[in-house]
Amino acid sequence: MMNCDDSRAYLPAYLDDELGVAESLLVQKHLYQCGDCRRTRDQQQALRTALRDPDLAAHPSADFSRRLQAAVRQAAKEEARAQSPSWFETLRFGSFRWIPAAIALVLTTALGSLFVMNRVRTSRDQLIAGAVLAGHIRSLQANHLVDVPSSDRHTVKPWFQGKLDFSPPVPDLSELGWTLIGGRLDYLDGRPVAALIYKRRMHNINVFLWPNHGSADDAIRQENSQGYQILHWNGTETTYWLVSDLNSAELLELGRALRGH
Amino acid sequence: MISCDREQVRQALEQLPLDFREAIVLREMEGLSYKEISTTIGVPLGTVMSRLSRGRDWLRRILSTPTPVKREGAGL
Repeated sequence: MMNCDDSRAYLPAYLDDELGVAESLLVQKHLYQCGDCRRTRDQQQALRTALRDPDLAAHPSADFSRRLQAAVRQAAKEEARAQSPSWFETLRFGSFRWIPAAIALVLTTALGSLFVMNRVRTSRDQLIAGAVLAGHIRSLQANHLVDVPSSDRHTVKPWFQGKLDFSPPVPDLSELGWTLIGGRLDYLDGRPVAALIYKRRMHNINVFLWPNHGSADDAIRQENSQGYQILHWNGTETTYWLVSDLNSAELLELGRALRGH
Repeated sequence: MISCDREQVRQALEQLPLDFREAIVLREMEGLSYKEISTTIGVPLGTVMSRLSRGRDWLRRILSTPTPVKREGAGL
């Protein structure tokens, strides 16, 4: 059941169509029942409508577009001239001097592909890291940290049954000083994921996990973003993302404990 | 309820700090998703959400306060 604070925290993302299906339904249900929140929605909607007035956007003149295209064409010409002599001229088909060039081309292409793939992966990880951090902050802001509040792994693990297409590992790490305080459903990387929440002193740690269908890489990567620590690795079966305001050494300790299970 | 004409909205946008205005323009006028905005301006998704939220609050506050509208010389 969603209260007014939760509803207002979710409302902007709801109106932007950026909320998961489950949360959207909860917001809809709350709006149906609460007149105050409907008024807040109407105010936010009115601002959106005002901002989407097509005459508000600045439209460049036809002359601007023409000058821009001319500048782009000119820059392309200058770049082509700078590359002379052309690579055709360097080929000497009468001899075998083109072979080293061909090898270099193949190597460059192969290395380039690796670089691009690595970049794509890194940029995808950056997107997920941003979503992980947003999920963590939202879970704290919206007072919606846990769906199933329990320190008993035998309560938390079965709770996910029927809600996810996998059964998340829920280790008991209390002997190591990590108190399980519950679990939650979340939505990351385009799919529903499990969120386990552990606590140490006053620090909440969100552990997001979902099946890893890609290659495994047990090395833990760590980054600091907006004062939060984010940890990530791709286990053989499961992808893990940890986020907290806890210090990096202790969070790494939790990462290693989870990876060991 | 916010009720305002185009010129008031334009002036309110001009008063927004650049970071907030950038997020609002990309979302409301260009129709980009949170993820696309995050990639375009190179900040984490959480920052996009926070800038949008604070930018909209800012706009609502400006537009709820009645101010004389300057009709000439305004431009985005």
